[in-house]
Formats: sequence, structure tokens, C-alpha cells
Amino acid sequence: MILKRRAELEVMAEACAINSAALEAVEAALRVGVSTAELDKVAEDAILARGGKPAYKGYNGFPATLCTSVNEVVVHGFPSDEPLKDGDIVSIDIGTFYRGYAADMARTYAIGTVPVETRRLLEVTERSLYAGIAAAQAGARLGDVSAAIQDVVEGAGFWVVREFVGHGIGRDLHEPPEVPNFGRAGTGPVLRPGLVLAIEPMVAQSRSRVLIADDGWTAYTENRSLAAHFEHTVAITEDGPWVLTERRAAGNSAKAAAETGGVHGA
Amino acid sequence: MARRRSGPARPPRENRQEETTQDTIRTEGVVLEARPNTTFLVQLDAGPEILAHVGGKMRRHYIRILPGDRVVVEISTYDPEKGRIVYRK
Repeated sequence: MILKRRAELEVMAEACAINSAALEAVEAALRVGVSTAELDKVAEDAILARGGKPAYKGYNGFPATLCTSVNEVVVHGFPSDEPLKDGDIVSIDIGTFYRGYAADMARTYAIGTVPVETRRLLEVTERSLYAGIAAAQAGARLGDVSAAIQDVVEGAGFWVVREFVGHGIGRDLHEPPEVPNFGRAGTGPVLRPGLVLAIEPMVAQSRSRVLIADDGWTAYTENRSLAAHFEHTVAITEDGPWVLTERRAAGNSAKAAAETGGVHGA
Repeated sequence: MARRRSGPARPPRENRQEETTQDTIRTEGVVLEARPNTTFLVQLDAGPEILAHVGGKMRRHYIRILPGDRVVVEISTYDPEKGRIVYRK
């Protein structure tokens, strides 16, 4: 695990601010009928305009700025010319490199009107992310984060995707350790100040394996149940978790964010 | 962007222990009699009669054993009354 100094965290916070601003630009463009390729363009322009570089483009051959994952696609969907329909859900996953450091975040949005049960999937997934963040205290263990997420998800009757995990982040988009969204509290490595994690619960409506399409990326639920995905880049500090990708500016703590619940787009 | 979970590190499959190696004594004998459950009464050259079953590798290759065959037998050092037929001459 690579620990970052305070100055490095400041740079990462800047990278994350650019990343969040780009996601906001994408949010503003979200509506029924827009294609994910158009959103990708918006994201890329927004990142470049702020001096960042899309982190996914070219990463292990990924072709785009955004991962746009519609409905049963869990993560890593390619942007396409297919327009979003009323009732779709779409996960927008976005990453930026800025001055040598990576930022990574994702949210899932409802397009138009979706059933209550779908809305609940989004709410639970986001809530599980904040539960995980709240557990990411200096001195706690990685398993505490995993277990906190899993408790929220399974307590709501949904399924934690096992095939993909969060990760450390810093100079590389993916660093050790892996951050699973399932596990036992009190196990795993101790979290130390300066560690930065991308915590990202991926949740399916019902128990399913996750398969990867022939394109080598698109991960979808085998039983085609809907999947949601929320992600923040979080630094472990002496004063508690610092959500670098949080848009609410200074002084945010995970707890405050959890209480206000976060806003759902579209 | 999520990371694909690295699979549980699967320990390299150990070479299955040869049936022949440890804690056994190899001798030869003659099959006297076929007994139930593919066991055989074997008269060892050294004298004693023991009960022996047919080794898994021999079953896999459908090697048939009949009374009168000369066979190689492995005998456990823990129970000298029992053995395993590992070769038919």
C-alpha cells in the first residue's frame, strides 16, 4: 500500500475536483434521448478544459473517457450512439489524471421515470458507499469497510457483486489493496493515514454472476437484473475519511454526507 | 473504474502422491483366490497369505486379475495382513 503525504493529497483533491466538475457537466446533459457517446464527449471536453487528462482512455485499451453502464451492465460499458430511454438507469464512471495523480468516481442515474424498486436500488447502493466511507477510519481494518457496505446492501435484500472490487489509487488508477464490497469486519490490513482508496460498491437487484461480454470489458449480470454503482475516492486521515471527490466543498465528513443522503440525478 | 478481482490465489496443484511411495513394502506373490469386492487372496513368495485389493491405477486401465496370476503387491507397514496389487506380471 502506498501512503501519500499531505501535499500529495492536496494534488489528488484537485484532480478529484476536476473530475467532479466533469461529472457535473455530464449530469447537466443527462436526459431521455441523449446517447452515451454524446455524454462521453461532454466529459472529455470538461476534463481537458480544466487541464486534466481522461484516465480511462487507453487504460488497458479502454476506448473512452467514461464507462457508461446501462441497466444490467454493472461496470465498464462502452459509450455508444444508442440513446438513453425513459426508465433506463445508467452508471457514469469517470476518471481524471491531473499532475500525475488519478481521481476516480461514479454515480448511477435514473433516466426519466423508473419504478420505485429501481430507485431503491440506487438509494441503497449510494447509502452502502457512505457506510463504507464512514468505516474508513485510520486504525480500522479494510474488512470493516467491506463489511459495512455488505451489511447495508444485503440488509436491503440486494446482491453485492463479487467479481469486481474497489482499489487503492494514487499515481496509478489502480493500486493495491483491492477493496472488496463484501467481507468480515476486523479482518484485512489496517488502514493508515495517507492511504487513498476508491471505494465502489456494485450492487445487483438479485443474486447473479457477472459475466464479461465479448468486447472484453462490458460486465453484465447473467440474470439481467439491474445493477447500480457508486464510487468515491477517499483518503484516510487522522481526522477521519476525506472524500476527495465530494462536491460539497470544505469540511465535509462522511457522516455529514451520509446524513444528507446525497442527491440523485435526473 | 472498478478493478477485476484477482482470483483466489489457487495453490499449484501438487503432484498427486504416487500410490507407491511411502510406508509400504513391495513384494511379489501369486493370486490364490478371487474374493468379494474385487479383493484377492495372495500367497506371497515369502510365505504368508494376505488379502489385497486392486490398485486404482490398475482399475483405471481395466487390468484384470485372475487366480494364478503373478502380481506385485504393496503391503502397508501398518497392517501386514492387507495389501494392494500394483502390477500384473
